[in-house]
Formats: sequence, structure tokens, C-alpha cells
Amino acid sequence: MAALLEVDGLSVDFAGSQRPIHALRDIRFSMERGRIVGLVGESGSGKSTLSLAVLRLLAPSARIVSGTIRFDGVDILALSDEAMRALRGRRIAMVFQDPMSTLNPVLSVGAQMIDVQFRDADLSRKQKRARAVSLLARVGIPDPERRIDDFPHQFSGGMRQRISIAMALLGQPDLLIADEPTTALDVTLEAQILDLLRDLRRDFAGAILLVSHHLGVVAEFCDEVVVLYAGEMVEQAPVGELFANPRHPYTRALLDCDPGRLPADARSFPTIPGRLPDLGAPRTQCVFAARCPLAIERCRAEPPAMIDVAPGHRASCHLLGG
Amino acid sequence: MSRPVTAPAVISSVAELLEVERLRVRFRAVKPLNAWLGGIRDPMIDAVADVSLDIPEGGAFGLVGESGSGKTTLGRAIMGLVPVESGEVRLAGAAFPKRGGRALKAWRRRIAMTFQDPTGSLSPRLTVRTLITEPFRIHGMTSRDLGAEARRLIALVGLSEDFLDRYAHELSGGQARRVGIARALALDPRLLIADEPTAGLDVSVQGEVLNLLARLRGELGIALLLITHNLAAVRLSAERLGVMYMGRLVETGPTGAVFRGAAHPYTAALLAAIPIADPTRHRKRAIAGEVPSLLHRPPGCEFHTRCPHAQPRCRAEAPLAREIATGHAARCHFPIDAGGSSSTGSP
Repeated sequence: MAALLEVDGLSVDFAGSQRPIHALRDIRFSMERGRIVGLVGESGSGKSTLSLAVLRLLAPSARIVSGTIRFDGVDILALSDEAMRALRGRRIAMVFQDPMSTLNPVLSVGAQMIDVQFRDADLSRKQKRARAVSLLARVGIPDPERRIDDFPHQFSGGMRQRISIAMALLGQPDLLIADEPTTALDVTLEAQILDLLRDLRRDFAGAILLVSHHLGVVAEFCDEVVVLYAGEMVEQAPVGELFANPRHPYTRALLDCDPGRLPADARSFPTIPGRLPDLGAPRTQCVFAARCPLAIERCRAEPPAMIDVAPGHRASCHLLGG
Repeated sequence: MSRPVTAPAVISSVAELLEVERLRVRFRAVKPLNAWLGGIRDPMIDAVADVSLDIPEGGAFGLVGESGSGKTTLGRAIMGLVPVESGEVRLAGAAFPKRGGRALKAWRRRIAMTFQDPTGSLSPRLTVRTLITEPFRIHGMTSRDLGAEARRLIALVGLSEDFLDRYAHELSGGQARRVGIARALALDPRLLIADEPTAGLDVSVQGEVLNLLARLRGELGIALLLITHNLAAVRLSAERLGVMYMGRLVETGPTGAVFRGAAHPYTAALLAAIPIADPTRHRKRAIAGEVPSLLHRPPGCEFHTRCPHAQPRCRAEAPLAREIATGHAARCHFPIDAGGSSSTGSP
């Protein structure tokens, strides 16, 4: 069976003042049905650009330079706008970081949840409302019959994120993209939302692409992880393998920085000295070379290729041979 | 083994720099007419309720809790940025000035604060040079060589002098934090209140900011009140830790002791909720529900609505802070013992 999502050689540029900014370079990965893939990276890594590209929601200043994105076998970059709209929100749905920006503040939650089902012409308004109520109950909104008529501001932050998840699931998507869904929430609510997503995955059987800067969240929740740095994929592995046996120096440095993994006798916090490379510069060396503690001559001379290091585990580093 | 602590010892042997005693900050949450219409008897909320804590000279205290727990309000009350309803704040033995004016200005020379939104707290129209020397102008200390002060301060926070001519929008999140810290340090304060210094930063940059704060403590001997929801970050940054819930300190103690054995079920739940970057170790299920409204504080122990160990007594009677070990206290009728179970036995 073909993969649900296949990104192949995707490069995205943003218009810069003098020259284009290479936000994504030669991204290749695929996602099977029902899997949860974590997209990890720091600011400027291109993780949000990648998730927006899959939804074809990139800003007008962005340009897809090369590559394809296939969803269920269909090249979505070649679809008409109309065909893409039919896919979006239905077969591919998204949950954003800030639920207040996805919910309309002047409409009740119920009105919005009924609106979202506008394509289901065969359902009556009453049936749509009943579906909305049952989904609200499913995501843990207490007393949904009554609360469905409330407005977004009448819910707490955690409840709003539950509502936006319910809305995303109304179309029974095959792929749910969650961009930092718990970043705006407190840690006890974060745990509740992750538990909810994990629960939901059992009954909606779709795949989830989780965009997160938080390694702990990824470790708990994902089956596979894709690590991005400065617009390039540096490593991909099953979650257990990535955390037990990270092969790219950037992945290792990122794991070391996680305060939850600090040894009990640590005296200071590990950091990654240096800064992101110029994203406008041509690709003549390894993207992490300038900050890499292990860099050798070759790292500054040519960019490394992705190398298979174990089943399902790939990394792009000269030190891995190849 | 535990004894009630009604008030902290007033006479202390170590030199306490900051002493906060039974501090209460009240806000009006509902307008009078709406309160009457809504049948709300008390339209006021206690954002900070009965909080006592001490920070010794050069010490660091980590204040943790979730959104709305009152940690920022407590920091602002110590700075004198919000009015205090009752209780006392003392700095090196001197009480918070009753009147504003010169005495309040002097107070704010000795306590400085960095604010949550690093870029938003810097004026977009001023250069970094002007921003970090503004405190000298505000405090009428213009006889100083402000150029030299700007160079001293920017070097102190580990930025090059090129940054002096930049504007706030030209700074990354981490750089903006450093500028905020440089400005806070301008007048050589004895206490720095850092409000969420790591929020919104990448994990590698969070470490840089926390390392900087640790270095500044060592070099300048300043005390630190670190306000954060990032529990893992506090572990190395503060010797003592306080956990706030609904405006109250529910647990205080040495950081290591609290991490090894949280006594209050809320602290335990917070610690258990931290996602661990290790797929082989799964956290225990976090507590259910959300923080109740401050307008409708639950009777008895305010955490009983979410507490996995709640007993009838918890619903009826508000617990006092009890000392579990020296310097380690929790506001709980049935604190969790060192073995990890609640003292009620199996719940």
C-alpha cells in the first residue's frame, strides 16, 4: 500500500530583500496511515513551513522551487485550488497553536461547528448539531448540550484547544496536522491534551503529523521523528531509536539541551554555541558544520547525503561514512 | 513529625534580603453592577493569598505554578507595581515605603524586574544604548558617563557593542532577554525578579539565559526570584522552590528535596506532568480538570477538586502550611511521604 503522505525533494524559498531565503531544502520523508510522526526543530528550522506546504497554505511570498507532495497517491501541488479546498479540512485537517485564532470570536461554538460541515448537504442542521455535540463530548467538554451555544471566550484555554481538535475531527480526516498544539498550555493541560489525542487516534485511525519544538512531547506521543535544522532534514528515525541512539550531532546537541534529561549533578545547562547559518547562502557545506563540535574538513567542503544507518533510521552526516 | 507553621520566624539568623510575610493582593474581578446582577457576593479575588517567603542575600528562589496562579502578581507586588492589600514586604530589614515618591524610587533601585514579553517590554523607538541607560535618566543619575555604562552593561550580559545601536525588532528572543536583563542590572540592584525568562525561547537558548543568570549571581552577588512555569529549568537555577496554586504557596522547600519527594499532591502532579524526552519512560497520568475560578474558591483545601488523594477533611478544612522536614513545608492535610504515597495510605 502506498504511503499516506510522501514528500519528495521539497524545496521552498521565501522572497528576501536581496536574495531568496531557502526555508526548506530537499525534504524527503513519507508517512504511513495511522502513524504519528513528530516534526522537530528549533525556530527557523522550517517545521511550520513544511506543515503549511502540505496544506498548501504557504504565504504568497513563498515559492515551491522543486519537489512533490503526494497525499494518498495524488500530487497535491498539481491540484486545482478547488480540488485542494475539498481536501483541506476534510481529508487533511489542522490544529494550530493558538485556539483563539482558529475560532471565530463572534460566533457560538455550535454555529461554527455546524458551518464547518457545509459540504455534508445530506445532513440536516439538527444532525450536524448532534454530531458536533457528540464530538465535543468525545474531546471532554463537560455538558456539551448546553455549552455548544457558548462563545469561544467563555471557555478556558485548554477547553478551546479541545474544541479546535473537535472541529478538526468533524471532517474525519486521514491526516491531522497539529502545529505546537500544546505550546500555549500549562503542563497539566498539555498532558491532558496529549492523552486526548492519543485516545482519539484509536477511533479515528488517521495519521497525525505533530509539529513541536518539545522533545519530551515528541518522545511521549510519536511513533517516528523527523529532525529539521535550518531548513534541512538531518535525521529521521523511529522514536525509540532516535532517543536511544541519535546519530546526527545536532540531534544529540538538542537532546542534551533538554532540561528534563540533565544529569542530577549537572552544574550548568548545555547549549548549542553559535547561531543558525544564513538561510540565503548557497548549499556548499553541511548545514550544521559551523556549530558542530565534531566537524572535520570535509563538512565545510561539501553537504552530506542522507545515509541509512539502521532500518528506518537515516541521518545526513559525513561522520557516518558514505 | 509535622508541626503547623503559622508565621515564618521574624528573627532570622541568616541575613535575609527579602522577606515577604502573609502578603495578600486583591483585585476587583467583577464590576459592582454585574456582581449584583450575577448574585456574586464578593466581587474581589485574592490573586495572592497569604504568601510568606524569604530570600537570603545572593540566594535564588524559584516560584513555579501554572497560568493564573499569582506568581507574576506576587513579583509585581514585591516591586510595588500593584497595591498590596495586607501583609508585609521587607528588603534588608526595611519595610516597603508607605508613600511613593523618593522612597519608592529608592526601593526600585534595589529591586529590578525583567518582564515576560522580551520584545514587547522594550520600546520599539529606542536603541539598545538608550534602553539600557534609561534607568540612569529616570533616577536622575545623568552625571555618570552613560556611554561607558552602556558598554559595561552590554558586556555584562554577553553581547557585543554592535548591539548598542540596534532596535528591539532587530533582536532575537534570546538577545531581547539579555537586553532586558542589562537594563534591569543598570542600577546595581540587590534582587532581580526574572518573570518567565525562558518562555518562548528555543531549548538551547533557554539554557543560555539561565546560565547567564547563574553567572550574574556569582559575579554580582545579587539575589534572584525566578518566576517560571518551567519546572525543569528551576532545578539548577534556584536553591529553594515555591509552588503556587490559586494564589497560595502550597509547597516550599529546598529544590532538590522537592524534586526528590514532593509533599503536596499538586507539586507531585506538576512534576509528573513534565514530558520526559525518553520514550521508554512514560509519565503517570496527570491530574484531571482545570484550576477553579478564583471567584469561587473551593471550600477547605482548594486543591481538593483535582486531588487524587482528597479525603472528607480536605473538603471541610483548609490546611495550614506544615513543616515536613527542615525548611520544607506543604499546605496539605495528608502530605505525600518520602516513599511516594499519600499519608492516608492507598487512596
